[in-house]
Amino acid sequence: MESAQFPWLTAILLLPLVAALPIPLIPDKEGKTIRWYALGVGLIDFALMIYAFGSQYLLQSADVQMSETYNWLPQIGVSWSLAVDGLSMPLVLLTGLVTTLAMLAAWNTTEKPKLLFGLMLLMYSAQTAVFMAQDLLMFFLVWELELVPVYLLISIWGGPKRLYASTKFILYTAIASIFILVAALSMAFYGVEPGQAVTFDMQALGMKDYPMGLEMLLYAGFLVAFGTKLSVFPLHTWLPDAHGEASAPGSMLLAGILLKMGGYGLLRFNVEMLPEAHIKFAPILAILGVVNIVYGALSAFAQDNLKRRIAYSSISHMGFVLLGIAAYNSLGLSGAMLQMVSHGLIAAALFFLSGVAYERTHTLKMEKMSGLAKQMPIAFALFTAASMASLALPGMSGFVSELAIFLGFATDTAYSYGFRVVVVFLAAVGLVLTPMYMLSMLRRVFYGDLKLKLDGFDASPREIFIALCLLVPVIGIGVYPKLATNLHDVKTEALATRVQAELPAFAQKQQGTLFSQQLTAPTLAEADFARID
Amino acid sequence: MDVANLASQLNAGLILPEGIVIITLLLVLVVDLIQGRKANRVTPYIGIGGLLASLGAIAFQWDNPVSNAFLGSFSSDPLSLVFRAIIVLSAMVTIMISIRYVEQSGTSLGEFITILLTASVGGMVLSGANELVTIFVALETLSISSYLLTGYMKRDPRSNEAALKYLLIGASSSALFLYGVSLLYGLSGGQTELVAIATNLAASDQSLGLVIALVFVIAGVAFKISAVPFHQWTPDVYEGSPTPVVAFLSVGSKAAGFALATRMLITVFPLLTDEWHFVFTALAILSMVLGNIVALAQTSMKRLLAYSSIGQAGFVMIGLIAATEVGYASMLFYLFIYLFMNLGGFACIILFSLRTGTDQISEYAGLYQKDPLITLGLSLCLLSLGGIPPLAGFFGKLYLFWAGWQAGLYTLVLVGLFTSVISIYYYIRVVKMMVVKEPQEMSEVVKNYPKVTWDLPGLKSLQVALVLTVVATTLIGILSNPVFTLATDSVNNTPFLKLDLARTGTQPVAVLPEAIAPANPL
Repeated sequence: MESAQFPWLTAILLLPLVAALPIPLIPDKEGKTIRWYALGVGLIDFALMIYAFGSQYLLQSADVQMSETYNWLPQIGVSWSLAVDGLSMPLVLLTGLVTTLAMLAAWNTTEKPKLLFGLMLLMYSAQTAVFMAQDLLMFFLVWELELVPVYLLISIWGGPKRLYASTKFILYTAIASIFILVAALSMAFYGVEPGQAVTFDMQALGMKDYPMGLEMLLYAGFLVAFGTKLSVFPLHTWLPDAHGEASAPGSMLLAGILLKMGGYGLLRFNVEMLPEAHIKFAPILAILGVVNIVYGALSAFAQDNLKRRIAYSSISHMGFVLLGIAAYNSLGLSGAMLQMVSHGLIAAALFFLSGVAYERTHTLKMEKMSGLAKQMPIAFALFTAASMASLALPGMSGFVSELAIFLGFATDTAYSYGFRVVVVFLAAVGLVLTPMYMLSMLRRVFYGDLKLKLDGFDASPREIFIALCLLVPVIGIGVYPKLATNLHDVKTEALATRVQAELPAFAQKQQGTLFSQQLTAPTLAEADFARID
Repeated sequence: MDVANLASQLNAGLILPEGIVIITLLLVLVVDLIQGRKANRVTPYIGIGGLLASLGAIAFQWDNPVSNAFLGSFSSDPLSLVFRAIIVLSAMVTIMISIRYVEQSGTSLGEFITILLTASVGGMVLSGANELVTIFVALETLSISSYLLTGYMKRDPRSNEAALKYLLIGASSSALFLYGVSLLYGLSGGQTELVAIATNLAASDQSLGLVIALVFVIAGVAFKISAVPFHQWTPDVYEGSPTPVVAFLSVGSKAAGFALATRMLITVFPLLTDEWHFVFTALAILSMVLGNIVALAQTSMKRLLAYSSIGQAGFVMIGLIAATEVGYASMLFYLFIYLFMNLGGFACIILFSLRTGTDQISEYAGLYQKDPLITLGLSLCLLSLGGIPPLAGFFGKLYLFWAGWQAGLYTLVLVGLFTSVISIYYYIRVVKMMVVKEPQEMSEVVKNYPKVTWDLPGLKSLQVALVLTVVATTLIGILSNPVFTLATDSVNNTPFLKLDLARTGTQPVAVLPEAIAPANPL
């Protein structure tokens, strides 16, 4: 079989899932065999991704590539349909990296190791599937597949309030995902005459022309579903609990990948499939983004718990994603994409290192920790590096992505000048707050006198390795952003063109409405086209 | 006229599945009589074997073009075949999971199996009955056997209480149903056959009387499928009856109820389609909301499943109300997978109560450490009932909601979606109890959990049933294509459903050729 014909994506998706099935049968009480097994599967799958994308993926193309479509449930128009494009490919790679590292981070788990690694493999499959699915109902299926593994991951291996946190997580996510199904069914059935075929193919659904009212409703539905996942204010309240209570590997997955599913959903469905409604909703997204940035930063200040503080910083950073999506140009969208990848790496590193600290101190209360720097210099160095990345130090990936988002939004002439000034100013306030809470966190945890008796020594080679695997790409992207932007730029540009194509028509149609003050005249939108070229 | 001639004229071969079950139950009775106590080794397997043979007979009839038997009073169309298969399967699994349970309680196994088989015959005949008297006789056969079964643990006062409650409420609902049926008989000018009644009713103008008849018929049917507000017997009866009986009532008896509802309402009341759809919409919404919300507060596993089964009946009704090809097919599909997930759950509960003697939810705490098989099986079955992918329940609900949304039942589908989120909460509560609790939080009975053995007589078959149902629950969803095709075929090949679909003008939904195009990798 030629390598071009081999169903790479299906193989990448199914490998961890199939590998998870025999785990109950592997004779292993201590978890020593299982962890090697799971790590091996994770590595093989990651290698498969790199090889498959390296040999098959065309960076110059904005279309979906490597599509694999098989008949699955033809009676209701569902097919097993996978493909990748610039939006999904980087996130699939991120999934492979972070999940494999999370398994390595869970290396010393002694409680129910079989279940832990089995669930992690299951999540591996589910996460990659979310980013690759091209059939809306299949997307819904794999989206829901995440639910129970994450629930168990939090509620078994989590902190003291884990039951509350996990129940909150599952209720929020399950209710939110209802909206995906309802929107999917509405989209698929719209305009279908009796006797005509129903399809859930996302490309075909994106081509359909929905009436404005329906499109707005669909957009709102998707916004609720993905906004909950992305922790958009006011749907964010599950996140600090879930991220704060989960064990370090669990938090790595939650912050590193699960949050990105929300951002990916917004880009894929709201922006790409419903561009007309996106034009209308974008100002709201910008406002929500600013609220997220400032609110997350302010709340992070008030947190006494190390992981909760990092969790609120995630909320703040996700605000930037929203802001980038709200921009109508490719710079903003590209920045949003880059921010997702960058935050996936940084947040995973921060949560992992806070887990390293927790293993030694057995507390996450920052007031009880202090002076760890002297005892754990290496961990301190790594933690500092990750914090610097998080507060967007130049030379790190966070800086590039946030700069791109700022520039993208600030230069977006479709918004009125006043609106842009206010939004950018408020977002900049958030940007100033970030170093403050990040540095105060470092000070409280690592400086001062040692209060606790530490259980163990400095970071082990395994832990250093995990942190480096996450931080090296962060610095690499910071120094040479094209490393990451190359993967998605063609796609985000095509996306921006598609959105802008709706812009003049919209501005003409909607004169005199509420948003016309924020949207300038059609002539200015034409200037945008020139810039794109 | 000799017997063979008569049989061929009556088309008696079509009740071969029922015949096999009747012969089996007689055989069980005789063997039990001759062998006494020793018969316990044999009778269950005779029962299972007979049911398997009956299942084979059902499969054999699939392509039979002639579906009417006994001068039209019984029809063996594909729809009734599917329902009969569901009932036979549920009876079979029930026998497999009941052997140890009944033996341990010290009552006679042979009689139990006999009554269970009688109930199955009732349900099977009901699935195909096309004539008022046959319907009523079959319904009563099913009901009276069910009363006997619920009271089977005669030394247990709770079982007696359950039987009495069931008998009283059941008898009054039968009376209501009978009254409705007698009205139909009168209104149609003395017809008993469903089609003839419909024809005569269409010719005459009897709207008020017809509505009253409809109400009474629905009351009788809703009692059988335990739809709110006709559900009050369910929790008490489920809690008090022997657990295997509950398993049968929640699947077999419910499937028979749906068979009756489908056939009778669609055939007799085409004039009142809107009205009975409206009533069923109300019943479905009430069932989904009340069943799922009250289940939140339950502490006993059996009561939890009782309320959950009320909610599940609400979901199934969506397919019936959608009244499209996909709708009926998704109803059949859901009942089919509900069979596996519910019976799988009951198999685990029976096993747990055999080992510990309790079915309180709190007593399941920490079971993961002691008995991974029950934990895994029960978790999968409950999550499947909650509609978590990739288990069968997810696909079942997806089909139902798909059909409902397509038919424009937006409210119903939205209620269904929200209540299934609620149901996830209480199902996962049990999973949490078993899996999440740490060793020190283990309940007393789990701490003293006996060593897991499968040596005792009757446990092997329980194990087989458990593994089979759990595997089916896990896999049927992903591989649902052939099963759903079967369901669609049975809907398309059933004359009265075809007539109904043609009348309401719903076209089958074709699939885009692009959607099934082969892979085209880059």
